[in-house]
Amino acid sequence: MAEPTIAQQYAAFADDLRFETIPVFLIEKASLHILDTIGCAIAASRTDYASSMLAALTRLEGGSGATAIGQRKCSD
Amino acid sequence: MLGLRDSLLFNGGLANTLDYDDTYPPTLNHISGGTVPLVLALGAREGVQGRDVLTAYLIAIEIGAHVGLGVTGNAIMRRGFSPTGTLNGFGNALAAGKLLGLDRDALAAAQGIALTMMSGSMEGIKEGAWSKRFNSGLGAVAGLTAAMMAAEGVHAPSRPYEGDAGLYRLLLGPEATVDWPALTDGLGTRWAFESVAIKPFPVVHHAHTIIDCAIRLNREDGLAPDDIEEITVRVNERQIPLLCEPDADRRHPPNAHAGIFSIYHLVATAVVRGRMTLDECEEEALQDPSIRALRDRIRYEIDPDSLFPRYFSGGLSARLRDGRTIRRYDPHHLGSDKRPLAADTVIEKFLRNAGRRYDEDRVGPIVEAVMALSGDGAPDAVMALLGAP
Repeated sequence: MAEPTIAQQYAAFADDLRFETIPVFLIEKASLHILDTIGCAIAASRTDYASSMLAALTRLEGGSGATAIGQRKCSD
Repeated sequence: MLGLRDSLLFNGGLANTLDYDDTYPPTLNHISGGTVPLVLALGAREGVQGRDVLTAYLIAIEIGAHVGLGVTGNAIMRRGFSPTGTLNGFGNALAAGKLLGLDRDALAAAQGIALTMMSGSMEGIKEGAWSKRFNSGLGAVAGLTAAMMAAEGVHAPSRPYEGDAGLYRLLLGPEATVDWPALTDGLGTRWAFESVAIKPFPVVHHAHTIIDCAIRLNREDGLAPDDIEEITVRVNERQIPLLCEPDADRRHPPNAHAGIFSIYHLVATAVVRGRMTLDECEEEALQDPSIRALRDRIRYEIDPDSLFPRYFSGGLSARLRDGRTIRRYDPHHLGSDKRPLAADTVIEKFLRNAGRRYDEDRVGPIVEAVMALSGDGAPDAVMALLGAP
């Protein structure tokens, strides 16, 4: 059998990983990193950057219903 | 309200906007900024438990760290690519795939599809261009999209890493030297995540140890600025142009942004306030008379023992008006693998950050909801607290 590719080895790692086998100190550290990341985002949520990005993304999402070639509309 | 993919671009970008989010030091990618919005939002939509979110998060971080270990140091950044934008999509594809319940073949395919979506340029970073901020969002969008395409049977390249147009040769050219064994070495037994560092202060990393020492003059030694005759800080020779010189600009920074690169302003602020948060980076601190007075009594000397650039060593000696001298020094910066931040410190940072937007009665429940993820909590309980105040 051929040597597994790196993508296959990474896939196996992801497939095999179980919450129960992760060391407790890493679970605690992961929870803190999730909290820290959320805090950094909240602190930036009133910046001009946030306003511009939200406006841009909202305009892009508005008026959906563009044609997918050869396909029925989703609402059909 | 945004769709799921756009919410990742938006929220991932917010996480990096103040450059206050965590980093994997060996490859310099900001690593959690896109992953956290991804695993929480997709997890909430899929109705999974908090522990599934944590498992998916760790998958994303481990792979996001490992993919960068195939090439030396900051080779990717030197070529002009954002390590955050280019490296994080693969781990995010696996995290999203795990949450979607993909089998091994589909998990492998998701990485192949993510390759074609990776992007991120360092151009404009010195201009302060905003496009740099959403690199972590791009990695999350790539990961989510790739995993969903794999779930629906989109055919993918099988060798996104080893191939002639795979990740490393695409970024660094056909002659790129790749340390192939490093890509999988220790995977599942030694955790790269242990080295992922939370940033304790929202200012230039080089100054972190010196700031920490200055804060302790206030908090542990109980000093007020008037107790201090003079402070001498110790810096590596190569840090001088970043923190200390030219003297006119650094000693009297013209605006708040310049202030966060002035060792004089930073140390004086840390001593006077006993902390270094976003509040201390505002214009108001720059105008504080007691901070301005103290910064003129600070000088620097070269530290021959510095471990820079591996660690941001630093320290100071404070000569007091009562004749004593207090010396503080640490070879390793706070938040590094040698000195991880205590849980209380991270929570205090969160409370201050979240307090800029939300009232106290909202902030506490967010902490509880996140900490409950490892117990019986669920991601939708976290996301439900993160909308408008």
